[in-house]
Amino acid sequence: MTQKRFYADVLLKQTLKKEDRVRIPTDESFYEAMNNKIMMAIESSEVAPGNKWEKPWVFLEPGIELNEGVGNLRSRLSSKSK
Amino acid sequence: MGREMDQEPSVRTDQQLIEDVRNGDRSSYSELVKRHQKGLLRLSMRFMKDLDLSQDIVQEAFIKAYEKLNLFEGRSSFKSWLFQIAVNVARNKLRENRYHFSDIDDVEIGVNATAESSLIDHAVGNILQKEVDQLPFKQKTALVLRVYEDLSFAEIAEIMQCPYDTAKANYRHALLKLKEVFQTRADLHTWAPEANGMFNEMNAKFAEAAE
Repeated sequence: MTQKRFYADVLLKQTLKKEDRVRIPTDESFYEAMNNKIMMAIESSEVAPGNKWEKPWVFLEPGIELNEGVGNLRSRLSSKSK
Repeated sequence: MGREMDQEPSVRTDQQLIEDVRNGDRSSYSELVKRHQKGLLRLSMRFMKDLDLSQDIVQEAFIKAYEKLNLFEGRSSFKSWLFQIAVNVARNKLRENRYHFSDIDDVEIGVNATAESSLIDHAVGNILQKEVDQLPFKQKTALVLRVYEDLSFAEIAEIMQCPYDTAKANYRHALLKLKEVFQTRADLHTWAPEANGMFNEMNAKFAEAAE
């Protein structure tokens, strides 16, 4: 079942990609102008000093959480029992 | 680590360029902009559907990223971090403008209000695109990042600032919504031979998967 669902998802993904309507300019001068505009705005900006309290939230992936947590617990238990 | 490698200046990593900027070299930021502006513009276009508005998003995202560069820890790629900022800026702009920002109720209204006759003239791609555009913001974000940007769920979670499972669930819900389009809109099966084939194949696969 999982394999079939996977195939259906892949098919839908392929269709979406094939029918992608988003087009961006290909002219390099467009991007040069954009770059210049951004850099001009950057000229009047400053990199804010780092604040140790202002940190992005870290979300753990379940894989990491399980592997590390359970693994450590197991290794602790097995080392205790020895 | 990468700093120790003997590299040409033209192939400096994002992290090296960021360090240069942190040390006061603004010109290195221009290189970072060059590297990522196209990707960021494409992503913004998916939400805004307008080049001028998308350019504004890109510019605002780069300025915010510059100002908050000291907060970038290098846990994720600089590209993911930029995407995260751009998605937040786009979401705020859509909220401000109420620009095609839809929730579940709006989806229903949108479908009912669409004249059947005008639908007939549309290609499958247009219909799909419309359905994608009408997805709730989080589902659309997960779908766009997964399908068009080929990002992993870990990266998507990072960009969406949500747990890994939530990112996956948003993507899954988006797919299910699109699946419903294929299942419910039987009227679309008959008017275009190429569409008919695709709808049938898609329906069969989803039906098998649901068993």
